[in-house]
Amino acid sequence: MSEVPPIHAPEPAHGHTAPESHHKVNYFAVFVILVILTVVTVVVAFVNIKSETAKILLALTIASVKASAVVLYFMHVKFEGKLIYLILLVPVSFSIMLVIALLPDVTFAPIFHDVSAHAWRFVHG
Amino acid sequence: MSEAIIEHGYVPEEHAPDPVFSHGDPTPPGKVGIWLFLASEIMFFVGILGSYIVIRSGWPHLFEQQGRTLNKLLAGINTLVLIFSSLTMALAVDAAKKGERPKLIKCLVITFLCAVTFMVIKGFEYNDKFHHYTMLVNENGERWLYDGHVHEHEGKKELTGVRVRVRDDMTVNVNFAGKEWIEDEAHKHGDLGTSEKLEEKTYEIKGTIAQQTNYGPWKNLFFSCYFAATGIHGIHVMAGMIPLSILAIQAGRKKIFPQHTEYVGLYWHFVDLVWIFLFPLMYLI
Repeated sequence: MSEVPPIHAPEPAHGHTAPESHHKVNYFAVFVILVILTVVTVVVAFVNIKSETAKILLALTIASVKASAVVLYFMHVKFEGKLIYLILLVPVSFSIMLVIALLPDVTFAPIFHDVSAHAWRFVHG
Repeated sequence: MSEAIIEHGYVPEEHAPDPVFSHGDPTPPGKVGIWLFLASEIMFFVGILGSYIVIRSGWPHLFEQQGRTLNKLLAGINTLVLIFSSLTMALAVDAAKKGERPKLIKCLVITFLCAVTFMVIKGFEYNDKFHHYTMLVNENGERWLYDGHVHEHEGKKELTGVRVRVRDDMTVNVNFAGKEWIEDEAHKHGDLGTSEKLEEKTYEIKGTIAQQTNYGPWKNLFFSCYFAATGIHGIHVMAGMIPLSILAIQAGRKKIFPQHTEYVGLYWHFVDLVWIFLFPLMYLI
């Protein structure tokens, strides 16, 4: 006798409207990338780079790449809905606004660097 | 459902009735909550970063020089410890979702131990800074500037480090002077050949100390920045240890909270994220 199909197919379980994120992230690969970048940034710090600006930019670029890897993959932001992006938009735009508001203090600084150097010589003899 | 309420007194979020989602966004309210908290945390740390930017732009020489007195190796190890703890935390969240209890406990315990390791290494670093002194000493009518680690030896006060005799034409400020300054002056005044390096020696401090300061937050603006930023980050690490231990204990009692684990994971990755920026800013550049 052939099998009688059940009249009512079993209903899918209730209770989870939110889709469980089953995105396969290779956490170990992300970890290896982070370790490599950490080693790179430390090695670069010991290399004698003349330009202070280049040094800072390089260190911050590496830090930003590392931070993006953590945010996108460890924190799953890559797989999040619009709402999380909307929430993140607020502090990120405020952060940018704050740094822009600080620009007068920073960009005019080179003009005062002579003063700063004088002060440096003063305290250092 | 009602049994669960009677038994536990509250309904864990994963068993609670479905909230009404607006606009079809399937993000659970708890996740919105933790992200709002992290949003405020971002602003908090950007405020500290802002003060760092302004102070550094005003005193580039100071930051360049004083940053070298910090221990790059210990901080690098700490970076790896935090990154590793982030990995185990991500694996813990994964295990909690799949209901793999032994793996969850293992990952949470490793994450917790990484947090302890981080704080212990940080403690060694801080302790080192608090025993590191710059002092101006009057000895038999001569003035000497010392920089190094102070310790007691057979009831005598000793300092392991470097020193230079202070001439009348030198302007000394213990808050700015350090090993490099002493080396520069030694070169300038012929105490040391131009290509020679100052050797660290142990000196007994016999004279009267005219001025002294250790490498605490009061040393100068760089160390104010350093202790404020790393101290607040350390408090965040310690705060993270509390929910980590709670989740591990609950998992040991056969209770798994997948969503709470995810939220704690988000916080923990954020703490890692802050350190990823603090490490180059304080130690490397």
